Amino acid sequence: MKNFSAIIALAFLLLLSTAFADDVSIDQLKQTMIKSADEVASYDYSRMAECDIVYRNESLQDIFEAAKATDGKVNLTAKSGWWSHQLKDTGTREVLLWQGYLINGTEYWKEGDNWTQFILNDSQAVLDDYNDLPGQVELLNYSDITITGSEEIDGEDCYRLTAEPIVLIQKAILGTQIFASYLASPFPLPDELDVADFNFENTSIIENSDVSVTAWVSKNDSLLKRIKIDSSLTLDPAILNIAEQNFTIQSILHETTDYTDLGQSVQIELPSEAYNSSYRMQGADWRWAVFGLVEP
Amino acid sequence: MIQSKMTCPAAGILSVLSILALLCLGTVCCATAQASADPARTHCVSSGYLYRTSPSLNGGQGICSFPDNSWCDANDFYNGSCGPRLSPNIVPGYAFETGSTKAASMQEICLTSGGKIKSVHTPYGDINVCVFPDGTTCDAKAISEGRCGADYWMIYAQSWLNAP
Repeated sequence: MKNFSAIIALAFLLLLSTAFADDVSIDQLKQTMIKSADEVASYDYSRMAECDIVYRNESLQDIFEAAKATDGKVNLTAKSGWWSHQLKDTGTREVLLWQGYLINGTEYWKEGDNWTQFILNDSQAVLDDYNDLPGQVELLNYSDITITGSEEIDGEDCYRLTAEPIVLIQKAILGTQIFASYLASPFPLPDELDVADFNFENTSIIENSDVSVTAWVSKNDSLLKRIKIDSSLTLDPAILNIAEQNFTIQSILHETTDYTDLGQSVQIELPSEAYNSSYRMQGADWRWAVFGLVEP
Repeated sequence: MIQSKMTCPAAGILSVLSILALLCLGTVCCATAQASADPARTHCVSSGYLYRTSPSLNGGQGICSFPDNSWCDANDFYNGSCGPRLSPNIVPGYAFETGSTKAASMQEICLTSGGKIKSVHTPYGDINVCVFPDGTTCDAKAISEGRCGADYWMIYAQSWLNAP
């Protein structure tokens, strides 16, 4: 009986310590992730984003599919950055190319074969935009995180995390996804959505959506190696709480980003033809907005 | 830092669809052809500005609004006889960020409250969040509008989609 009690006590202590360790490890992991990301001065990244939107009503069914592949380099020491996007419209098979360089306080865009130069008043703010990693870490920092296992990424042992962003972030994602869904829509944007007092709380959008994040973080140095964001959304007049003829829009967005060569030497060179670039204030192709705006 | 890319805090999605119709991209576009009739509107939106109409402005005729809240008659902007007061060769969103008193105000309010501004990645671009000492959060743009606590998602969404 005495031994049994000791075993029970030991098991209780083990259980308690495990639970405590989990709490501490997640909090500590967030802190070390932020610290590690702040200390990284250079890295490469690649990102794949896919968007599928299905439109249905009694008489039609349309689908818009697009994919965006992004590569990027960041060198904070040299205050330079580069990103390259390739957007493929699956329906038309059209491919759009877009590159951005930040070199010596000037930003250059290459869209197709056309170069555009931007003289910046605040190049540090633009460098912050190019510095992709901290924003991803902050997404995890402002999420409810659970360690769900261990996996190797590029031969490195990593924690596998699942994360649920705070509601503010979920709404920012879903709110934009609603409007992005209407970019290719055969249904007109309802008047209720075209006024600024549309009330998210009066709808069932959250209940009919899912925003989930999965991340892989190095056990060795707490650097983020891979992060995957999945957002799905279903819209109809009842969900939006609007008076419209019946329709359904189902929108799915997947985005996966891999970070490599963290802390390694990263060279970013501006192609010579960029120096002959013209100045321009035109807009970009609308399909970029399906993945956000003018940024990776 | 997605705010830096915003140009105008309001709608215009139909105008975006009008660009779509002009591009005439497959069956999707055909359904939106009805929105492509006004070249002045299309020119305004494709330039990254906000097209809108209001009975109290410009006799109800369409206007093109710029980031500093100035505006032109949409047809005048289309004809080139009126334009924004922006430094040349600077994309509108960038000019908005560097010249905006609202952006500075947002930062000032957040920092003087002991808060920190965090840029958070989303698949649609980064958003700025002010994190107060007690751990509560507020969208940074909502702070500048005195609407902390309100959902500012719609302004973000519409601004993104109405931007260049």
